[in-house]
Amino acid sequence: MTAYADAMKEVGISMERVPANRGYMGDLYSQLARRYEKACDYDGAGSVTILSVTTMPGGDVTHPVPDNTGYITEGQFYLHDDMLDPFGSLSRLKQHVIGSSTREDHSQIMNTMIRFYSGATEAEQKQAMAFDLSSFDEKQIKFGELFRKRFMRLDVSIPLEEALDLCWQTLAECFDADELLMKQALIDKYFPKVAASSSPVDSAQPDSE
Amino acid sequence: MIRHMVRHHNILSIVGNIITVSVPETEGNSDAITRFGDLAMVEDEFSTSIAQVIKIDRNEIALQVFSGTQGVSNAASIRFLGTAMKVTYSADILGRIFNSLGEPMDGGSNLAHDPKVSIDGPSVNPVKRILASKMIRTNVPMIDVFNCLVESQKIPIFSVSGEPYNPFLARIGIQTDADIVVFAGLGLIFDDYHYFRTQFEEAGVFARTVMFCNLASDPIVERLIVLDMALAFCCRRGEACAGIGYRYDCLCRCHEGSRYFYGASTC
Repeated sequence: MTAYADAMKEVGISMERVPANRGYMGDLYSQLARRYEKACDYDGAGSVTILSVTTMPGGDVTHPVPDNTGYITEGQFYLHDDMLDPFGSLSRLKQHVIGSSTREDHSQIMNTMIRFYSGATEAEQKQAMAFDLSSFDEKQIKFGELFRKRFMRLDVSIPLEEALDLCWQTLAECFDADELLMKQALIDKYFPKVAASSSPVDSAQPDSE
Repeated sequence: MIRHMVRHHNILSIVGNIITVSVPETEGNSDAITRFGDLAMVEDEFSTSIAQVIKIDRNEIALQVFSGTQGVSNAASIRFLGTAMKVTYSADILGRIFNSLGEPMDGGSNLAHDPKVSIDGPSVNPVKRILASKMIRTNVPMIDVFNCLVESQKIPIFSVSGEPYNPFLARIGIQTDADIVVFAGLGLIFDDYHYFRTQFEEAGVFARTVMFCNLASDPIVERLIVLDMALAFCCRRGEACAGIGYRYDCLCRCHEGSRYFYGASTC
């Protein structure tokens, strides 16, 4: 969509229109919105979903195109270093389906995984600066590495339920059940009773008995 | 009807991609010669190009020529077609590839006689919108688990330059459980275009895919209409399925191909 905006800019300049922010046309927001608003769930009919790519020149999210797009769209995915970064990615409509159309543990797993990944990135910062690490930090770092390898890489392809099971598997490999701080009912139901010591990325099987 | 055969020769200027032509004054109650946004044919001795009306100033009409004005002389004639840009809308376009003018570019049959719809339609009726409530599965865990995609969502992938978003988009297009996938490529280099085409074919999903491709070698003005074409098809398809008994969900992916470098653009 950045190429689209650039095309509008070039055409506008050749028509001698007055440029606005960074040379783009003043109606950039309206023009982008006009296309994005075609996404719709029609009452009694089908639906249109739009997934677009917008490159950020220089990785700058304040560039007019991603900046304006952020106001129009229902979230964004942040892609860098061959990975989809959970910090920076947001789907503003996910709360409509998580838990209601997906498995009951989806919401808790999602939040727990992110909580530990966030702890892992902080622990890694401490490690990089050669500060002391607690044993829990070590666990989180191990979790962070597994998380990146098993989930964040762009070539990973597994259906949702298997992904949720793999989440449980990964948690079981790094933490004890009482360190998870999740609802006990879910832990009783989904936490693997026998965790494998380290399973290969693409053949992870849930180990519940 | 006769009006569409009238040729106008009074070209006032040709500047960049824009031709300005002077047309005779019309009386108050007769129909206008053309409308803003409608198409025209620019016919020269050796070439014919499509153009779009971009400005009407009393009896001076400015036209943007899609393929550029190189080779267009003052002796060219303008013929107003009386209609806006249209896209073919029929079941026959599934599994086909179109360029940014809506013409087939896969070597297959011409669809000139199939029904067409205007790409310049109104926005979706707000009363007919319902809240999103159904998930779209992509089999990408970072999406399905952490930020799941929902039917009727509009969501971009903000990518740093140089990331492998091509293979990623191709995977999503193949793996997703939509009924029709409409792919719009803006400024694709040929390698990327070929990559998408072969990926869809080899994955066996080409029969439910429509591709509208503006290649990097195509005129930049056409880049602006290829997106509208894809979206017009999506919307008509989305809203047309009430009585059929099953849902058509169109996943329209707007792919931004190579960066377009032009003169002073330093972004």
